[in-house]
Amino acid sequence: MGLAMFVIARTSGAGWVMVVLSALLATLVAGAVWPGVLLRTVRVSVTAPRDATAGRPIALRVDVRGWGQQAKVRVLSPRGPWTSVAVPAGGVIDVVPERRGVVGDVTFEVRGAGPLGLVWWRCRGRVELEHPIEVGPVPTEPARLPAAAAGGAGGDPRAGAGLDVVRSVREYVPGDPARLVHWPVTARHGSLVVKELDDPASRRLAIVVDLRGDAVAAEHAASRAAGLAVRALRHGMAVTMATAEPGEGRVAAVKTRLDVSRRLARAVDLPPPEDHFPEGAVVRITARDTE
Amino acid sequence: MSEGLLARVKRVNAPPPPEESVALRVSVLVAVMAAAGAVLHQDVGSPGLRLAVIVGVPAGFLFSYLARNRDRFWLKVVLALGLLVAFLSFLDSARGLAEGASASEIQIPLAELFLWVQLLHSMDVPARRDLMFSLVSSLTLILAGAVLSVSLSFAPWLVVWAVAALTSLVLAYRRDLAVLPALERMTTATDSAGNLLRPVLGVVVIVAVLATGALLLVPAAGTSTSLAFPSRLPAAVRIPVPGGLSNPSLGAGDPARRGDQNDRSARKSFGYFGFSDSLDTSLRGRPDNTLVLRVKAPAPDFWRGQTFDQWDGRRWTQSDVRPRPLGDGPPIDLPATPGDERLRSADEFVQTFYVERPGPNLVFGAYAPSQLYFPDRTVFQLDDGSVRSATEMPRGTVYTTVSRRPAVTAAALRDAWTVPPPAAIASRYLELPPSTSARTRALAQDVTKDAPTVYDKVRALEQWMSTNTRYSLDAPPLRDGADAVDQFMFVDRVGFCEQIGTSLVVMLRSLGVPARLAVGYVPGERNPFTGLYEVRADDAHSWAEVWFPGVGWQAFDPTADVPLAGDAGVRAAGSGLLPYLLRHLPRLSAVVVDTGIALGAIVLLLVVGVRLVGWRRRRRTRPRPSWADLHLARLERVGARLGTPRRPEQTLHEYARALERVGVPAEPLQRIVAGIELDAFSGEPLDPEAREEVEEALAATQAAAGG
Repeated sequence: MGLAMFVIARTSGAGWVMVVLSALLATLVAGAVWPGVLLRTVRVSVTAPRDATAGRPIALRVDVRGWGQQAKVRVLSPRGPWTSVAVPAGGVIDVVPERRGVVGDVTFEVRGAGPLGLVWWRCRGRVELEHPIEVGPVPTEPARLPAAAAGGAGGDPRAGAGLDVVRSVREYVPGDPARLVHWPVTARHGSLVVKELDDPASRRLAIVVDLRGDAVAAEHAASRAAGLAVRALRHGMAVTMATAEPGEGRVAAVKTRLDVSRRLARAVDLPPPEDHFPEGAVVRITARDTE
Repeated sequence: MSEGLLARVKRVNAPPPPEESVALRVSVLVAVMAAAGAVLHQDVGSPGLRLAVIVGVPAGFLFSYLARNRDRFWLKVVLALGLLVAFLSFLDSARGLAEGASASEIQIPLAELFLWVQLLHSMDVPARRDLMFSLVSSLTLILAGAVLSVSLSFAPWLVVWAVAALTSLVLAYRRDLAVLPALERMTTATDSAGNLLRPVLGVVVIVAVLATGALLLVPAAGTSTSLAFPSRLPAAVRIPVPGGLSNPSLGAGDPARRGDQNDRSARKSFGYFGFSDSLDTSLRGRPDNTLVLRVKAPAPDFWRGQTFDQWDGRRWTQSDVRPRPLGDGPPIDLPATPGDERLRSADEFVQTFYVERPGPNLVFGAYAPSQLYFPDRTVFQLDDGSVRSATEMPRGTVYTTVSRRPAVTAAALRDAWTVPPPAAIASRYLELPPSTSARTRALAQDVTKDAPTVYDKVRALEQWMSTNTRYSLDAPPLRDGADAVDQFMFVDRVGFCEQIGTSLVVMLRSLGVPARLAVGYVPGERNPFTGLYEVRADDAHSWAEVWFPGVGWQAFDPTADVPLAGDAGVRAAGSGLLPYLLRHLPRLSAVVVDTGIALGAIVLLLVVGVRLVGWRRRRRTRPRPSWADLHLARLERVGARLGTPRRPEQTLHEYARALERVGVPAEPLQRIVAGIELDAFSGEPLDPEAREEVEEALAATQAAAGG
């Protein structure tokens, strides 16, 4: 169109066409350069929660400062949606970490074409987080606790359903809860018999997490390990996890779901420690199979 | 089958989501109306089309907004048919172009077609994409206005269009982002009008600065390859004597009315006595600075009207009194006249003259005119090459002169004089009256004794005159019987262009150099916006024309700074912008005021529009006060009157207890509180009887409170 205007002006001698052409050129230059200049002033800071779960959204606090402008911003890693921003502005952007791990920085992209919307500029950047996001796996809980975990070798196999471990039985005395009635023994015995349960704290489970192998299988293994640990914790067991972390192997107790998530977030595909487990059952979960 | 096809077409043309922003629609509408106004202002379009555009475009925008969510397939069909009809009508108007007419003849029909397109398109702008199309279409219209406009009256339209277009771009960009979730602004919230005005003002200022810079860099409009040769004659009033000279601005001195003894009319302030059949150098008085002509030309030059060859010591006259009719245009070919040299190397130089004041029927043009685009079939040519129209030239007359200008430089002129002039030139342009004094001849000899060429002789004489004489409009009157040149050169040494030009011609003739006196206009001031030379009445001028073999007649003038053709040229469109602005700021004030008013109106319109939209939104989202709210407010007013206004943290019961403490009777008060609470919180409105009871209780409370 500019060329057409130039030809019109040169063949018609209309000076106003050159004025319009100049205005158009000025608009194009302003529209092309201005967003780039504005975008160079943009500074992004991100505050993230410490813990996250792979595949589930977390809220990042994103602050965008710089010269006043309208733009849009998105977090590239972990991935988030485009969000409009009238700089300076700040707020929460939901992002979804796709995989387990420790996220020490966040990459973002800001795009702007303002104020005229003619030419889009983009800038990408990386923000070091004050503390990293530890993205744990999505726990995949087993249907039942493994027998070894429930009652040790030769223990009550039904304990794997996640129920309590029966130490012995005795005669019913008034006041015993109905749920403790051991119906099979009662049937055989002819009078009410109740279960005496093992003290939960006395049950220990060590989970060895070996993530060597295929990456997808490793993620599944981490999820399984998380699920097992969570379930065991829920049933009052003392859980110890053996994982490989960058530069070292680690054997340590996990007491909460958060501990489990963080340990597995840090776990890498190196050989886990094979000793120094506390007394109790040991469950090995690998990227190939579960022992 | 046909339904299937229709469905497919509809699917392909699936409409984008409708645009909800009223502000964006208003700003695009303003841009479109400004662009349409710029075209209509150039006398484009029939009254019907003008009315249709002025009323139809806003109505179309309104209709588009109201019907933005409806299916518009059949409307599109109707609009497509309308466009087809408009295009066929344009083709019909443009038939003349195929027959060899000037491209300028197509400009008006094309501008009308653009108006129709804009009008029809405005009926169907439901989405943002359509609004942006409308904006681009308005650019075409503003260009049409720019091509047609020759004055600063285009400026307000352009400014309004530019501001509205920039506002539209800003708003459209914001609407693009508005669909996304947003982060919260950190700065103190300002109203939406403020948020919009700031960036728009910033953009306008930056674009204005950059555009000024660009105007100083882009090449000037117009070259030798012109395609447009406009011509127009608003009214054809024939000159009484075919081929005769007419100049209504001279009043009773009009040569066409000289026989009328009763005519006592005065010369107009812009009338120049040189545009007559004789030029009397004893006359005094100059025209004022009324704008008389606008000239569209790629370079400055003398706009020559006619020449005089016979000098009697006081008065110039023309020896040729038998103008020859020329016709069969456009264009009308102007044959070469004695002394003309039609060099193949000569540049074509196209000049379009826009008559702003009725003046002489002289057809102006740079030397040497070769073609003429004139709105009348017949013109007359004298053998000095000057051309007269057969009609008067009222305001609004437009014609285009095509000249063949040899690219003359000082070096070329120095080399030119190698042969003596032919007899036809020598006999006519070397004559001197007996009154020419010996000291005039001697002075010419003396001044030029060291000049090797004719060109150098001319320059030497010019130099002597500029050193030893003074240009002044207050020249003393010419004594009876005195030779005008002698008195100017040796007695007064004060004069103006007629004396100076005549003296140069007489001295050159005394040296055997063919010369004549030409009258016309100096180029005038170039308007950097329009690219046109604005010729004012006081630019009327006379100068010497000197004949050079192989070159033809070349203008020389010690008083006007007009470059030689080969040296002339305007390179940048914005050449002379700053001096022009400085000189004309007071004159431009009217334009600035108009522009300011128009801009103010736009800003006001935008602010009102934005506020209106905001108010409507707030009103729509604001819950209507319930019966309970209204009666609680009444109770609060009672309390306030008693000096116990309700504090924000007080519950209704706490407030009732506070009112009891200041003497409001407990019984009606409890009924009021119970009624309001039931109405507000039970989920069911109070039945009418219960409401009546509460209202009675309130009335009683009000009465007890003394009001």
